[in-house]
Amino acid sequence: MEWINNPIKTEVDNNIVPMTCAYIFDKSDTCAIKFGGEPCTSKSCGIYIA
Amino acid sequence: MKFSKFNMIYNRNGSTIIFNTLSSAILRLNKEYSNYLLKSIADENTDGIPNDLFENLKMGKMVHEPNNNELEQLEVINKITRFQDSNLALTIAPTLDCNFACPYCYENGRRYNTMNQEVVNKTLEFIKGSMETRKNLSITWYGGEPLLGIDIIEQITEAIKKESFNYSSTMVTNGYLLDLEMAKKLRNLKVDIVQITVDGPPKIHDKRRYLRNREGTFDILLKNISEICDLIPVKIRVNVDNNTIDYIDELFDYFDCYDLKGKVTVILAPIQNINGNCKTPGCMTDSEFSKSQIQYYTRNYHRGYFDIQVPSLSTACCAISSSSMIIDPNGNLYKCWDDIGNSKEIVGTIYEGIRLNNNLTQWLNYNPLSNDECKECKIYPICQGGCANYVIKKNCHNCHPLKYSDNEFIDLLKDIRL
Repeated sequence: MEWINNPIKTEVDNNIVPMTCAYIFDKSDTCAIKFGGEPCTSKSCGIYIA
Repeated sequence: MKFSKFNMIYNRNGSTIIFNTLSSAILRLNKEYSNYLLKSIADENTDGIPNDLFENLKMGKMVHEPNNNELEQLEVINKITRFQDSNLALTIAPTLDCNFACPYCYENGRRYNTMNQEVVNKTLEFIKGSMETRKNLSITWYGGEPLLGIDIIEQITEAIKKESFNYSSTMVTNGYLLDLEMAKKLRNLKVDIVQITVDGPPKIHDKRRYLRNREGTFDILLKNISEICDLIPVKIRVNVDNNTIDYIDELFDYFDCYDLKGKVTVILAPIQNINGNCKTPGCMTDSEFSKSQIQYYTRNYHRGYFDIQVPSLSTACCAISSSSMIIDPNGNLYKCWDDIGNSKEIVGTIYEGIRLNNNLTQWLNYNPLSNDECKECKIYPICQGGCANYVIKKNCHNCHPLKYSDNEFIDLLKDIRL
């Protein structure tokens, strides 16, 4: 049993957005994922599934 | 406990890979654990799963409490994110004028206005008024070609910098005017990242992204990118269609020549017929792009211009957020940048504010889960219905590439990471 993608690491590391968006932004201090300037649902934004 | 509806299961020579699109977790099991898992799924009962496997499945959100409804959770997250009130995200086009004449441009035929001083002043008033109750402002400078309106960008930014709220910005530019001096100016104007489009090697790019006099732009762009990429982060967007996709790999040879490895990141995007303006014959469907993209990843990931990452939970399209708005050079407001300059899609102006008209309510009331196909789709958490423009305007769907190439993606990821 081995992780190909560890879920805990994923919450803070991923910066992929749907290809329907024109932009992919890098990580910022406050939000791991941004698209169109909008904050994402990453853990660092305080909104995530418990 | 219950199995997540967002588990995707792959059999690989007796072992099983389980990918949960809600958590982005991907777990590979040996034959013994595969048997436990597959039997439990068939029985719809998690009781017989060994503890260590169960704990990992729980961590990956592959199992959950029986009374949890994952779709309802996603719906709440979608609403909270869309209607949060602390941020304002503006896309501002200081001009719709452009020094390029790309045949696939969806702004083709719209008027090439530039902001006059009155609109600049009113835009600043609109921003300040909107920020009275908010903490964070982000602006994406857009166009036309925004650098043709650099004086306007300077004027607006210098005024914003005096305000107390947090501010950041990005820019989508064709890059032709973005030399070292301009990059220094942008850094001073708090532009954190620029996106520049290069559509392939010169024989492709120069036939698609040329100046109004039809002169090619490839050499200037790569020279500019190589000069500025140490100063300001550069994303290179490569627009592809069915006629150009086979030539895209050559682009990396040129990037290597300009010593760009490790200094820029590259993203692939499909040319699609968004509003009927596309004049290139090779526009891609979602599935065509998906298959091309995964092949491109497989061939080129080792070249050092992008990482293969697992798509993660999103809130889909930014146009459906109440705090996201587009401003055109006349001061008109829109929800989606595909509509910029199209007077039929205006949702207000910087003079009168936002109108609660049908143009606006169709975006804010949009619910991706009203579509039965999306509701049943295992990719839904990372797609959330895709581009809302397709649904609202065309009554069709723009699905995530993973939907058509998940098997190939899993194999690629496995090869890279294990």
